[in-house]
Amino acid sequence: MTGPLAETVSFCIEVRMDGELTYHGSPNDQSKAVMTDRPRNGWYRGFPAGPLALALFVLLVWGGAAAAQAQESLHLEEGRFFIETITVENERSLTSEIVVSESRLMIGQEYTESQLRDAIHRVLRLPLVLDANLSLRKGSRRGLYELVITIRESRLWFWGIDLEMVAWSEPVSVSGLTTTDTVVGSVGLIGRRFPAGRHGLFYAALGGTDGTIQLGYTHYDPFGRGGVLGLSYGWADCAPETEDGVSSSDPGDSGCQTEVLGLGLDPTYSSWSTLGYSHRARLTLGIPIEGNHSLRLLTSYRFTDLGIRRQAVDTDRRRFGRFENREDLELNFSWVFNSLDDPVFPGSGDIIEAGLDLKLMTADIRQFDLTGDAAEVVSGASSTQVAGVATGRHYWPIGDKQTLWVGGELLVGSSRVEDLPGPDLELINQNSLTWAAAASAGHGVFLTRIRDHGRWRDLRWESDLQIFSHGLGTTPASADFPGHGARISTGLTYRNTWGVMRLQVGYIALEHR
Amino acid sequence: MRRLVLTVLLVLPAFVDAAGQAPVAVVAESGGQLVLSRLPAILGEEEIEGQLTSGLTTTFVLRAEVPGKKLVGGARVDVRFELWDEVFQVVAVGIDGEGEGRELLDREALEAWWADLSLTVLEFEADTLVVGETMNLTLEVVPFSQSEQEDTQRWFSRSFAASQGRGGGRLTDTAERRGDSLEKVLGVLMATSIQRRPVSSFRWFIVITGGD
Repeated sequence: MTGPLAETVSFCIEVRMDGELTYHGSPNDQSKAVMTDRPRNGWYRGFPAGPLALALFVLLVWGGAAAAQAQESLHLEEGRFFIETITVENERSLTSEIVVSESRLMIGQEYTESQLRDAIHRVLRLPLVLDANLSLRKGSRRGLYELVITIRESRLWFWGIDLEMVAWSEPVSVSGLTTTDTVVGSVGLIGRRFPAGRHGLFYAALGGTDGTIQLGYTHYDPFGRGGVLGLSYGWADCAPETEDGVSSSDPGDSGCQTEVLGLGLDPTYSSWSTLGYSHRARLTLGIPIEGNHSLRLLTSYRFTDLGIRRQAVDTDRRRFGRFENREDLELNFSWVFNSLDDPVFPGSGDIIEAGLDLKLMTADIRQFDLTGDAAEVVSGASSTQVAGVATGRHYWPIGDKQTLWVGGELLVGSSRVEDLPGPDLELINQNSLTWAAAASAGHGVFLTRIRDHGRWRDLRWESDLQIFSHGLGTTPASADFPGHGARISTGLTYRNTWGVMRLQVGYIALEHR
Repeated sequence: MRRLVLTVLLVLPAFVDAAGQAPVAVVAESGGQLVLSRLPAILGEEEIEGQLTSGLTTTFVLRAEVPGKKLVGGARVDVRFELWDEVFQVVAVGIDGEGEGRELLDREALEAWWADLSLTVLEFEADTLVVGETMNLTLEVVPFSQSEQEDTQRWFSRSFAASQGRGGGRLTDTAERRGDSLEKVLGVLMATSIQRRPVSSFRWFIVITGGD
């Protein structure tokens, strides 16, 4: 969590370690082109959307609560199945080893129906898997079963398009020295996955958040106990700098990234816009614990040669900084619980993450104040933040078309900032308690879901409301930053066997302390 | 005019449910209960067929609602094909808590049992519901198992405790008046639809008829 602006202006697509498409700021942070269920087409009449869905949800919760105390009712006995063999059918590019590894099921173990369905959801979260179903067959003798996982793979080529228009309650700086109250961004990428051996998957892509070129490799079951190891490298080159030091590029241009760091790293609430090139390398290690629980280690290193830094909500174009040789190092170690039934369009389940987050940032900054004597200060700045981070989201299906979700994020930590120039050329040196919190709720309804032979496409209308707040334990260097805010957005997300496209409009209201 | 409206309402389900026959909803002779029967022959549909033969539990969730009367109810049918015994284990339970569990020897027996099912989907005060009114009926086919149900109920227990602190809800009050059986069944119904996204859904608008 790097502040509200970071959540909202980084509306970019990136290819993750394993070739997944990830959409920042969308309600579906585990994006990938897959789908789990197959509702019928034709004469189904969907539920009304919007407020009625919310009212129905309330009725469902209250109605269900009334029966929560009831533990006895007519029902079938719990099904438990001793798995003798696991068979994967219909695999083409993916190997059965990868599918079985990601299911986390072991031959010779007994599983309940619930555990088997959780396993199939994990398979569904694999890149290249569009659909997955499970069934049982008789084993070699009575009481033993063959588990059959039938998958449908997506295309090896993939694409992603993200178009977003966001209106702000006040002008913001989201690219160089450009200030606007309506931000229109577009990001696109195209890439291809390359199966490598029995456990590996390469990918290469053009476009996306990390830059114009992205390369990655994912190795499944690296230690023979499930899990995943991923490596990726991205190279980005922003548009050339103009003579007056202002980029002509938009934030949505490939390679031109704008982000607002958390207050712990930059208490001036500034936007950092890349103007030159940047490299980023990432390493991800996922270790399964049990069922849907796993441990995850994320590391990231990024180098940016040149950029512009200015207060995000300050419309004064005459106070800004140029940064060079910026280095960012991130280390995150988290426990993850993921029971989502679909990574792109979750309809049920939970995604919960909790862990420790370390961020280091250094940069050479030349800060200008052209309002008076055209003064400037040069500094080698550094920031360090150590924080505990927890995020979670729960999804409820309403029928086979609609979904409601609620979520929250919390960050609490401490930070150290050294020689970071402020807007008035003062050098900030401080230790701070930093925190950030956000809560969100949303609704999605499928407008189209086609599962005919040879055709596979989804169109979902999604709306989301988020409120956020952040602050520092000490007095911030600049008191003029928005401490609270809210974002409301609505849009369409389309998916087919090739990729995902998102069109969204939103409004962000900022409230200053 | 009234006869024309009634005729339209009677014919309406045929258009809404173009793929099959709509169930029949009859007010029980004793009154106070609405009984659903003649469930459409959907077990052979491709999506449902695959679920039924998977060896895992398939739950059919029926949810009934009378618009404007604040009447909500339903019923549930569980089906699982036991691979080694090659029989269908089935359980059906209505809103009144009455139900049956059976072992059916083959597919034909399952379809015959399904076609003959009669389930109480609504309980109501006398004269609350009259013949000729319409009812919304939703049937969802949910891949669902008992263990998931228990997880859901535990989650609901916590939600319920929280809502009690805020004064509870209308449905809770209604349920208390109707007794434990409604609470049990309705809760299971609601729990199923919240926990798992169905693989198929059907919806009908049914004209309520009187008992013979």
